[in-house]
Amino acid sequence: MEITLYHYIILALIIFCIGFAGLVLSRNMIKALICIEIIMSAINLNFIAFTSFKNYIFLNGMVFALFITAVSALQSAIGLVLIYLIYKNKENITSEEIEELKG
Amino acid sequence: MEQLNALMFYITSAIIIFTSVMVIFTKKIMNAVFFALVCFFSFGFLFFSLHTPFNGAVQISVYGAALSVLFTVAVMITNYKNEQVSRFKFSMRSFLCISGLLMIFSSVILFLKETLKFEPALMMYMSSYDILTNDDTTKQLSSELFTRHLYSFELLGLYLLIVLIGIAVLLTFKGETR
Repeated sequence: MEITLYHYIILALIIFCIGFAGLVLSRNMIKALICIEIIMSAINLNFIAFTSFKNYIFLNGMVFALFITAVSALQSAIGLVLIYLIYKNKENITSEEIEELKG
Repeated sequence: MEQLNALMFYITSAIIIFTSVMVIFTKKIMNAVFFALVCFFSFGFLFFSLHTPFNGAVQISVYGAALSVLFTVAVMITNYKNEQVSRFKFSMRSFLCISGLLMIFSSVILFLKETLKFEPALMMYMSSYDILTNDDTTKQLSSELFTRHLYSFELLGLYLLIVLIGIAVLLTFKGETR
């Protein structure tokens, strides 16, 4: 059986949905950050699959995937620092317990 | 060879889907980090199988190694001893989330099917005959990075520097503690 671009798109879609559901449903903030990384990986997979299957002249998708990897690594580093600061202040990292910005 | 590639794709996909579901539903946060580690490694393997070895190596080194270590350290610093078990509660929010995701999923699949039905050119686009067979993509990628995307690359480096300074400032922040 031949593996086509369609398979990769469906796989990326499934993983994106799982990551999004985890982001919405999980109460632990570290788990939410991991789910964001899973979403980013699904986006990378889409970019790379499109580049590999057709656009191999300019390789734009691979370059974008590299940029996305760097940016998502940085945002999770910032997120972890913020989680650490929240933990230092509140001794808790459950998202439901942090409600100062609720208004 | 094609059969082997298909088999590898299906096995890797099954591992990725299983581990990402387990990240959500596992009770211990440390187990979630380990499942995420396996998930990111499998992504790297998929990238290798798509003839993009540089992206695969970056995926494994950044997500699989560096970020997993960061997450582990964060779990150890925060609440590893008194683990907060995040139980899945079926609430209105979860029902809306799952139904919305199902709608998005089905609409994208319907869209793809309809497009494939009416666009023979796109059908050819979807076929794997044009798959990248050149293994020298790393060289091509580096030349792309340092010619057409040079300014974006430099901007990304600047962004990295600013973020590092920001993290250092945040860590030296002496706010009110309880």
